[in-house]
Amino acid sequence: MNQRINIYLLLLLLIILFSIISPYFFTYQNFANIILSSSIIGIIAIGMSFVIATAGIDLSVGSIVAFSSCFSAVLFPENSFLIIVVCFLSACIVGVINGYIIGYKKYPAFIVTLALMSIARGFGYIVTDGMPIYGLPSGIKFIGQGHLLGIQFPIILFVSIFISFNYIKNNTKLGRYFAYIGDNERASFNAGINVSKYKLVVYVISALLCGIAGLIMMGRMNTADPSAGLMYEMSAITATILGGTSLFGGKYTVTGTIAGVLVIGVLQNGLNLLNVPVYYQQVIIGIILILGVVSNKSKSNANADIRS
Amino acid sequence: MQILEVKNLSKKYENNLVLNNVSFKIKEGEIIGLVGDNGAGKSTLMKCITGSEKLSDGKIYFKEEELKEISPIVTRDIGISMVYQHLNICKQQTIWENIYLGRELEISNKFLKVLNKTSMIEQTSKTLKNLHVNIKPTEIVNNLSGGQQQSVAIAQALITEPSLLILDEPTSALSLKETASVINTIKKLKNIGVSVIVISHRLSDIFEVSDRIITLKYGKKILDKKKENTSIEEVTKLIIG
Repeated sequence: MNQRINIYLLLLLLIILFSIISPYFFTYQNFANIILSSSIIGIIAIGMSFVIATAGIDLSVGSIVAFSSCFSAVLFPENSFLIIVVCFLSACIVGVINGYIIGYKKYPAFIVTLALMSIARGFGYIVTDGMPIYGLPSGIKFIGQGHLLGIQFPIILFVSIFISFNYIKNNTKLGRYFAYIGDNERASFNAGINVSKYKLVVYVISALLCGIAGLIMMGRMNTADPSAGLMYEMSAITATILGGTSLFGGKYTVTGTIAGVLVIGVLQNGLNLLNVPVYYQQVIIGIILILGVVSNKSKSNANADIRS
Repeated sequence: MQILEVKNLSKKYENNLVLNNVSFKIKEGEIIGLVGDNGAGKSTLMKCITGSEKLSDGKIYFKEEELKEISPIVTRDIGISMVYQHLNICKQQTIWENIYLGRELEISNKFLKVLNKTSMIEQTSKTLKNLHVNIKPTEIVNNLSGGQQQSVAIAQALITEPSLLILDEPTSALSLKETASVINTIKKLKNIGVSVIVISHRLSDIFEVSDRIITLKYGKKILDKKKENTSIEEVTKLIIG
């Protein structure tokens, strides 16, 4: 709980700080830009929170974004509906492979998703011959650039996914089982929870959210790019851990993750407005991640002390 | 009515035979005390009955029907509950979540089934009161004492109103007062027809609650007698002799 309050405080402090330093920061348009630019990582990070809740990890998220978007755009370059269907299906296939090997074959998530990160990225390059595909149909462009009721469509998607998944996390068996499995896998199994099935489901959820992120990205750039989504796994993990989700599973928060995503978004936006070079931004975000992990670890150690 | 029959049950881990041709029966409302030294196979035997360990050989009958498929889900659904020595609880979750672990109550809203938290919290509160445990159902388990955590595990096993309850070392981490409460609870279960298997190193507790004593040694059953026909001294001799 404390860590969640910390992340909200950090977000508030950053907003106040940048509002004082830069006259361009505290405007409606700038806030809309921050949310828009955070939407892709935000959607992926929600899936990552669910995965980490089970004491797992998904390193393949960025590659799934690239692979699912490229594969669908190569197969049906002029049909928005089929691009959407194939994008989801191809993302889902990677999620099923991840989930099956981790859930049913009991191999470590780190190794499995590391392998799928490489395989999916490789397939992305193979199907496109390493070249981006330009000029996508209007339906796809709408997903990335369109407006609904005056609000940018990616923001609507992002907020809808956030609200839905926060509800699922708090109010459904599915949402709670992920935490139970991460907390005590043996106890969950003994209680009759189908641990393997839920592990498979969580990697499919993560992959499907990557599929949505891939569609937004294609629409925004009007391009399907096999090099898209590089290092997205790191941003998603950073936001998740900063938000208060335990890296060791059992405890997770969707609202905290979104606050974590916004902290990174506000930080990048504010530093851009102040003309801080991007290399420095990477260092600052890395330092914040270390602080987040240290805080998480020390809390976990404290809990272990209580248990022993 | 016969609740449970274990027939010629054996369990092997590679070449290590940890249970060797064990057989016994339990009647409705009967309390069995299962004793033996460390490594005698008591916990493994119980895990085989609940399906959290696969048996290598033998048969298990529940209410006179052979269990063809033995898994934690199946045994729980037919009415076998177990409180494990290493408690079956998720310490970062609340008490009510642990008590309903794997058998959550749900209600349907317009779109999907959601957890019926109010009902689960109310029922948890009642169950804890029956066990004379004064803790809030919304408390996180990690914040509880060892004894309180044990009570949560017992409440978890009782919430399904099982026909057979297995307690693995239920009093080992408890204070005297909490132990008396657990023993009292076990006696109450007998009155409502629940059969109980209690595993414990505390022979005084076992002899206080049990109708029959079964002793295991090196995975073999070496004693199966009514309490009146044996004594703590005899059992102790068998275990250490």
